Amino acid sequence: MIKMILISLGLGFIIGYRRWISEKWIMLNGKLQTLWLVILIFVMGVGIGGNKDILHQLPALGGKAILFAIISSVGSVAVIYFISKLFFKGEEKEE
Amino acid sequence: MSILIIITLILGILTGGAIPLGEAAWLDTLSSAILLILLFSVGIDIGLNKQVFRQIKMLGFKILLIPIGVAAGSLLGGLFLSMFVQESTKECLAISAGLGWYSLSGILITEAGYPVAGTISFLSNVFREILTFVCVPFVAKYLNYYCAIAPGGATAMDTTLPVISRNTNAKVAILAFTSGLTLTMVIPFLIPIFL
Repeated sequence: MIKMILISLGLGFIIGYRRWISEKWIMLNGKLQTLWLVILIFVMGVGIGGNKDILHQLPALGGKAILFAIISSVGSVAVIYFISKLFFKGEEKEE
Repeated sequence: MSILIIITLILGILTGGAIPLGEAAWLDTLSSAILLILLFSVGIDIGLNKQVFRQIKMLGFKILLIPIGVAAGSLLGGLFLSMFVQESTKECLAISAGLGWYSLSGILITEAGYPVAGTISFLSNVFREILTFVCVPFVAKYLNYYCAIAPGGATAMDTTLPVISRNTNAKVAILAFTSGLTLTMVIPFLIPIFL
């Protein structure tokens, strides 16, 4: 899968870098991206909703799992916030 | 963006719960296919920004600070939680070392002889991915672009990369990908360290 990911990103990158597509398609690409993203999230949702393992374990361990998800994400964001202020100063939101 | 993602996700979960699809292996194939199309599209966006590689080159070793920070922050979170739950410190660290890679973390921890912690890790990393979809637009807007890389952990190289890319810029998208890739290579070694 990692190989496929690299190929997809790489092919797209070359096409973008060499400007093999017109402005019109560039605009369309941005719009389509949101559409693909929505479809992907929907399909992943279907997978989660239909996963019996998740549904069975959820009542007993779901609360703790959510706690771990939130606290470890908050920890990651907090550390990256400090790193960005220390090492990536002034470039946090540049275009 | 977030609202759209939340609604789509809920609709998807409800659909999955309502329609018995059985052992839907084709569902994984379908989501992989859509993911690859999406990443192709993200690749075009990144390529359009000609300065991006020069910017990344200028960062040098600092690129690695991102995955190191993401992992360290996550483990700190696990350490913090170990004070409040009955699971041992090492189990809590292993759970939070999953960094969004739910399939691997669940299996590794379960096989090490901790089935409950393994299940918690599996579920929490599923939730972490969902949480990332929902919170990245907010984090990018109210904190900064670099912080938007953090919640995704290892998934920043694939499933959550499009959300990060959509809400930040080409440079941060590349940093997110390299961070996710680095973490993906490290996690198989990181989890067993704690067990």
